[in-house]
Amino acid sequence: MKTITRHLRLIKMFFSFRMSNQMIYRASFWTAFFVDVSLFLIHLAVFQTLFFNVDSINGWSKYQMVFFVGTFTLIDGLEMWLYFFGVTSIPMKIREGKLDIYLTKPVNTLFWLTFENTDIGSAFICIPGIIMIVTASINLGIRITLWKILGYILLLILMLVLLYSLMLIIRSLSFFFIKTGALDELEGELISISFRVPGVVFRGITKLILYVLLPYALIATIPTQFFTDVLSGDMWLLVLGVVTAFVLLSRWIWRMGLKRYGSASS
Amino acid sequence: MVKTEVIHVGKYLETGKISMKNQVAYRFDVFVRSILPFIRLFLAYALWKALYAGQSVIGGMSFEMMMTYYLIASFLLRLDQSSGLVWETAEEIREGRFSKYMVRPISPLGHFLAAGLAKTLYVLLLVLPAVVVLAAVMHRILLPPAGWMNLAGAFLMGFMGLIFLCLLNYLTAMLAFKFNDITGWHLLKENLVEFLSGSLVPLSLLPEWIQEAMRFFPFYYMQYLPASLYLGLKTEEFVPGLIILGLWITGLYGLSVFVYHRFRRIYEGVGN
Repeated sequence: MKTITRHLRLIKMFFSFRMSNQMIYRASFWTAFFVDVSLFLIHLAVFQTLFFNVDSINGWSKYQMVFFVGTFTLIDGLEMWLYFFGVTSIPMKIREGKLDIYLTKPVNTLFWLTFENTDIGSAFICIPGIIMIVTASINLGIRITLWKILGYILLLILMLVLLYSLMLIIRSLSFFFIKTGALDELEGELISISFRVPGVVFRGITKLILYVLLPYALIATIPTQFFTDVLSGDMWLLVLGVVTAFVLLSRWIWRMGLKRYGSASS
Repeated sequence: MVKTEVIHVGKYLETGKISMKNQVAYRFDVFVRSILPFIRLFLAYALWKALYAGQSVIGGMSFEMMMTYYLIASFLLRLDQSSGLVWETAEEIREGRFSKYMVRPISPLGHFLAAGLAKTLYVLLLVLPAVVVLAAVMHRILLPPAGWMNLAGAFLMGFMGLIFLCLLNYLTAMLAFKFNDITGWHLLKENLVEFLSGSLVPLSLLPEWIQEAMRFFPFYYMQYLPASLYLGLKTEEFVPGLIILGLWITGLYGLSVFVYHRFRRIYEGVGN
């Protein structure tokens, strides 16, 4: 309990330091908001364009797609607010030997790296996400219950943890390769699987790959499926299994990388 | 000024060679980048397979045409390597290292274009064989060009589109003279270009009045028209397209030169 309180206090301090820093550059404060909102509005436009020509995407209606994009927007806002900038700065710190200072502090290195670059401006991305979700729910005529809301929040948290683990695995490769810029682009393409195409379109081996081995297709699809349709018990088990496996895998790769770390010579 | 630059083209070739060598040094990085178009194609396959269930033509295209369209569009999108140079140039400006271009007998725009096109050439050499092999293996869903003239037309239009994008990226990098952080501008531009060029969804699926308006803008001719020409569609738009894109390139070149000469006055040459 004492450890949790201490870490929560640290998160609060990180938030306040970052907030002061960010307020110096007002324009940069809103950068992530404008960029990401434009991205998701464009994707709404893409789906709208598709629905000019078809009635459904593998059984999913137009408003289910709006809910899907809204869910990813919400996840993206939370991720960018909490850990995105912290995790993406890891390769640079490894390359330039800046990890030394983090290793000598009496705080878990990964915890510090994860939360030191929070971005409060990104939290505003959640607003258009919530608007999309509410609009879609009204148009779909979904009966909202407490169980639905709690289940949805739980799935959002699980997907945030999964996304974090996937990001960490890619960033930990910087311990083993000098230049990993292309891996960022690869990750960008893989993440686009999460919001450009709903997981329901995948079948057979593709589904196995994108639901289990590279589970990017789960991220926005599963919460959407739960809220707008039905999520079977098997799918709940699959989600829990995949999230647990990727958390353990990311921790293992991180530890292996740390053992290999040789300061500025990495 | 253009005449002088043509006479001294050798120095830009040298810039291009150095840029190519830098690429070769990071083979793993370039290899990963070269497989990215196939991820996009795979996504398109999964999505459109579902969309085509129960219908054979959408937006005037069969499933095979749609897949070929996405292959060409992703390939052209990946060929643009000047986008990465925006970060490098903006950082040089921010940290005061841009001064080297001001004291050397080299035009920053010429340097940018040479470096960008050299990177493009390297990616082309790497990705083209993979695309050809993929097209041969998946010949049931990926179509050959409608004709050699169509292929040549698509190539020319695609190349001009790359020049336009290079100039647009140079202009974006120049904003770093004025603004401390250009991340937002650059990413916002990337998002818009991706949609407007037809890389996300063929523009023929949009309502006709939107397509009509888009014909006046350069983005229509960057990926959508080359891919359509390859498929034997929109051939009547080739010549007007060349003229419109040519005009945009000329205008953007003039604007790039003007903006550089204007903004260099506010450059202090010291890092932030």
